[in-house]
Amino acid sequence: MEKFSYKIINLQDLLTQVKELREKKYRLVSISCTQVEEKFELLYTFDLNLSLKHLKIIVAKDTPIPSLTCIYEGAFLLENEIQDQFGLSFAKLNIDYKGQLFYPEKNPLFLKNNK
Amino acid sequence: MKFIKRLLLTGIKKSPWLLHFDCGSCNGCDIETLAVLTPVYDAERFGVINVGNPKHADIFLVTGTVNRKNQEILNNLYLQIPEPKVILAVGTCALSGGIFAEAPNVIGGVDKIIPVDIYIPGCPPKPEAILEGVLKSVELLEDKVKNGKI
Amino acid sequence: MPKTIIPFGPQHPVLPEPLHFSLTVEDEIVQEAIPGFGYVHRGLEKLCEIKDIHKMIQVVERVCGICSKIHALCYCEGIEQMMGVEVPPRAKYLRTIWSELHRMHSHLLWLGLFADSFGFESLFYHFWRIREKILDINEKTAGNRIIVSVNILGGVKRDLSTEDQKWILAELKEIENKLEEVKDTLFKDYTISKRTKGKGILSAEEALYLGAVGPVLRASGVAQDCRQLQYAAFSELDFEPVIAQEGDSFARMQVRYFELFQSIDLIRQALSKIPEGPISVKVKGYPEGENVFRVEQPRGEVFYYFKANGSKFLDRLRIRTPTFANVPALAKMLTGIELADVPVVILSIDPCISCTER
Ligand code: SF4
Repeated sequence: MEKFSYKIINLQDLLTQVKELREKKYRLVSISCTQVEEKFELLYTFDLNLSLKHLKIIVAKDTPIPSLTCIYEGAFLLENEIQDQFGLSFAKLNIDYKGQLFYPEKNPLFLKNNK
Repeated sequence: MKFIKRLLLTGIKKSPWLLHFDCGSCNGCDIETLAVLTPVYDAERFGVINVGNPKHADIFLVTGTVNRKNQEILNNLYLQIPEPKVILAVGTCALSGGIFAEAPNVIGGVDKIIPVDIYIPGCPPKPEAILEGVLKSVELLEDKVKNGKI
Repeated sequence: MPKTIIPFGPQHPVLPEPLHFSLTVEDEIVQEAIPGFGYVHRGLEKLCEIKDIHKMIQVVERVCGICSKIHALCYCEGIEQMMGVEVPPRAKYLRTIWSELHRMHSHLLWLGLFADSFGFESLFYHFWRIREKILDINEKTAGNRIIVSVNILGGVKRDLSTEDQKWILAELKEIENKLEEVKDTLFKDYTISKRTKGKGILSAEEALYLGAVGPVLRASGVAQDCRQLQYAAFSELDFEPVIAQEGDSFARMQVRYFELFQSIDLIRQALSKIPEGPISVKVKGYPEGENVFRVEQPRGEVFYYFKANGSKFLDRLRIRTPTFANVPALAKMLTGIELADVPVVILSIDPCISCTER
């Protein structure tokens, strides 16, 4: 298996970069969110013929993140899950569960200090 | 009244119907429960039939942990099952939360929400154990009919 | 008729698990399907902060009871890669054998449930009877029927003796014969074709765009199988991904049915090539850095993301399970079909909700 490496990009470039990947017929594999102190790292993973490509953005809690659903329709679940777990917000989601995909009330359970 | 009671007793003894609800289990217990109903273990030889409608059921078999969203549904299903009924908790998860007890969205075992009559431990329990539990619950049902106020 | 919204699930007779769909229906035709989740959510990814990396194996096995062994395989290989641990070759082969056995038991289980979804109960029982043989093998060789906890960091816990291997081969032969017996029913039966052919069509283009994985993707004609990534011992075994072209429920059944034979073949190859030697190495220290790992589960590709900090506990473990990736594709398949076909189409992706929600 190939070694893991990623490219850090700016938040503004995200949509254009992802669009390029979509044109090259990449498939969206996953979005993984990690809390690093007060910031959040979002790792976007794409696949083409079983080789992976990773993009990473680093955001603060209140920054709205552009949603990928205008490019990959199926991204709504991944993004809603992050909204649920970390309380981040995505702009222009096609189906927005408003942080209630998994829980009946809004409560970002995966934040570090939230036990 | 006596006649109805006798009728109920034969019906329940000969063919108790079972409702299975998966409430946050890892599937391990569910498929073992289903395996009990299929040929090798064949619970149907005791008349046990899996039904989808709570209003038809006598035995309520619950697997898995309770979380914030399914507690309501669990309670709803419980209330919809007519008396007499027996509640069966299958698997360590349903008993206490098991390996997931400390997970953020887990409340605990099934008995935090509804009363449980029979507990079957194991992760997942063997089909034989589940079968034994189901048969025990038939005895319990009989008791409930005999001593209940129906 | 005006639009009606029909709730499907969470407690539904064809679904062994609670999945919810809000179906917007007009004249019995589904216009929109919006999934609803949360009934089996536990949040077990967060357990990595309180359970150490060895104990987490038991937790990831319980992401899903049906493909437990393969979750553990993915987790172990991912962490081993991060720590630079070289697993002994015999352990690699043993991992492969157990994971293929798991794939078989999962596919048989699904074939049964699928038959049940259109009311073919005797076929359901038939497949589950065959499946019991595999569970017997699991019980004899690994000590448990479903949650087969054989993986540890650095190898496996149990070995297969020569008698066991012989016995497994004999059982496989029998399973193969039994499977051949139902082949005609499965592919020629009128009811089955009527209920599954042309239902829930997904084109290759859509499948890739919506991120579908596993048999759903392969049934649409895309030959992609994560086993080609050559984890465990797959680099030394010979196989071709099973594909079908039509992209409907029937094609997905076909793919899974033929994958059973593929798995039998892979186990035979592995048993004939298995080298002697130790089955595990000692793992010292704790991982550091980030890593991703993917393996092929019965339902498709599972994706693990690890972030470690050199301590006993992982910083973050993220699991993207196959059903999670297939749900957008399922929502697409459901639009435009008749209400009566909804259960069959939902089951055709082999939904595993406890995976999806974790
Ligand atoms: S008791 Fe074990 S097998 Fe059963 S649901 Fe819980 S974790 Fe799964």
